[in-house]
This record gives sequence, C-alpha cells and structure tokens, in this order.
Amino acid sequence: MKNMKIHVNGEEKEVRLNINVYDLLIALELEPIQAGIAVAVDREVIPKAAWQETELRENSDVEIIRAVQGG
Amino acid sequence: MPELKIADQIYTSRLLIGTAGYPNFHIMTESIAASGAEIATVSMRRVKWTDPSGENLFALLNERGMTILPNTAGCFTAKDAILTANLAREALETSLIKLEVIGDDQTLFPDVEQLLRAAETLVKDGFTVLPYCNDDPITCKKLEDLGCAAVMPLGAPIGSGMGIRNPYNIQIIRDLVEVPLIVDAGVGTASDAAIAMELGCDGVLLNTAVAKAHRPVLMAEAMKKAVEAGRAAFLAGRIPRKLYATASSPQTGMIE
Repeated sequence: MKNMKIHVNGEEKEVRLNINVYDLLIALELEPIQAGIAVAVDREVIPKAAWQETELRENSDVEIIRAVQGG
Repeated sequence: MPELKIADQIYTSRLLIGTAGYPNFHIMTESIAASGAEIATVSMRRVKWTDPSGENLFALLNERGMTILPNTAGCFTAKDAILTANLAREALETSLIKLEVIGDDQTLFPDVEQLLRAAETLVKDGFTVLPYCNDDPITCKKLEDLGCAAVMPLGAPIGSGMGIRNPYNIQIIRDLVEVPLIVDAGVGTASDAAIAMELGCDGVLLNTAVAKAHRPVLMAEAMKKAVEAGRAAFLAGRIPRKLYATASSPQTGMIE
C-alpha cells in the first residue's frame, strides 16, 4: 500500500494514500466519535458528517483542535 | 432582578468566568461553582495526541450545564479569528463566540480594524458575536451596528488586575449602546467588579482575578457577591456627590 506525507497540527506525518479524515483520526488514536473536536483541511472546516468522505491529498494541511482552558 | 439576556438566552448570573490559569482542574471547577456563573470561556487549541489523558473540558462544562463560550484568543488577524470561530462552532456545537483579535503581544489590546472586519463576517455567517474590544464608545457603537450580540470593552489590559481605568468611557458606552455591555478584562478584585456593575454594565467577564487569587474559590464567591451588589446599587441609584456635608441626623431638638 502506498503512503503519502501530510501535515497534522504542524507536524509531518506519513499516512496511507488518500486516507480520509475519519480514518486519520483513528490512525492518530483519537476517538472520532468524541464530542468536542473539530478538523480543518487546508484552512477549511470539515463538518463531522463529511469526515468519512473527505480524502486527504499529498501535503494536505490538517488542523485538529479541541477546547482547552481559556479566558 | 431582571436577568442578563444574550441573543434570546436568559442568564440569572451576570458574572461570566474564564477557565484558564487555576492551580488545578479541581480548584477550577470549585471556583466556577462558587462564582455562580452560567457562562464559561474556553480557548481552541491543537489536540496533542502524545498526551490523550488530558481532561475533557468540553465534557466537564457540559455535564455541569454551563454555557460554553469559546474565544479566539491568540488570533492576530480577522482571517485567523474567523477560522477559529468556525472550528469552535463545529467542535462545541455553539454559535456563541467571544471574538478577540489581538493587535499586540505585550498589551493584548484589540486590533480594532481587524476586529470589525471579523465581526462583520461572523455576524453574517450566523454567529452570536461577543467582541472583546477597547473601552472606546465609537468602536462599541460600530460593533453594535454590525449586529454583535453584546459589546465587551476592557476595563484594563487582560490579566493586569488594574480595575476599571476609564469609568467615564464605560458610562458613555452604556448610554450609546443598547446591546448587553459586559466589562471583559482588567478586574483585579471584588470592588472592581462592583464598580463595573454600578456604572450600568450588564455583566462582568473575568478570569485571572479568580484563578490567580491566593484562594480562588473564596475570590469566586466574592466576585459573585460584588456583581450582585453592584447591580443592585445601580438599580437603586446612587446619591449625587457633594463637596460639603449634609447632616443626616435631625438638627432640631438638641439638648441645650
């Protein structure tokens, strides 16, 4: 199976070719069904409902965020 | 006493509290409870998968029935603030956003131009925008005109604990805007919160004053009382200031 490089939260990661957002979260050992996280790919927010159908490309820039303590 | 109303949502408490900087998670939750606040702010940051054991703040605040108010802290441009707001809406399933667009690292003063730009876009995109802004009446009026659900001028720089540095501007803002006026930032102790409320503010948002107090839970309780007392005093109406004394005891029937 071929791999590709993407950026996740500023770090380079090697992942399966054309992996979708949902499978990426599983590969990162994040629970995709958990409430409270959001994902943007190339600065565009991907709604939860579209995670399985959104495939990443070589050099995709992925941000995964959650709520932290703030003022 | 009439409640605080933000975008058709009614809140009994007029104190909004931040979740940052407490000695630990337990003291944070105890402080939030003691403050009586129904709205708590959070920030949006990158997930760290190297440390998945971190507490789930979202779940914890939800369990306690708190309204979660995500902020765009750390954003220096309208573009970044808009993306952060959209991520927050997706992650936390709320259209509320405490909009911060910072102009400078040292003062953390807002960048008014970028703030107005971001506010305009977010209001159009259906957000309930609560902007952290300067204590500038004109900026506040512009934010109201753009459709913001409240205006939240600073009393003093974030985390400075310097109190309400320009009460006269806050008073003018009170006269100029009809949306809820919430002092955000600068409160150092209970009397500062009371002063904000006595000036006619609808609420106070604070964090550091409680989180960094020697006894955060006790300070949270003090803030709760100060906000209530300040509100009551505002509604009651203070007496005019006079330079000279007016006797309060009867001046007739004295012993001769």
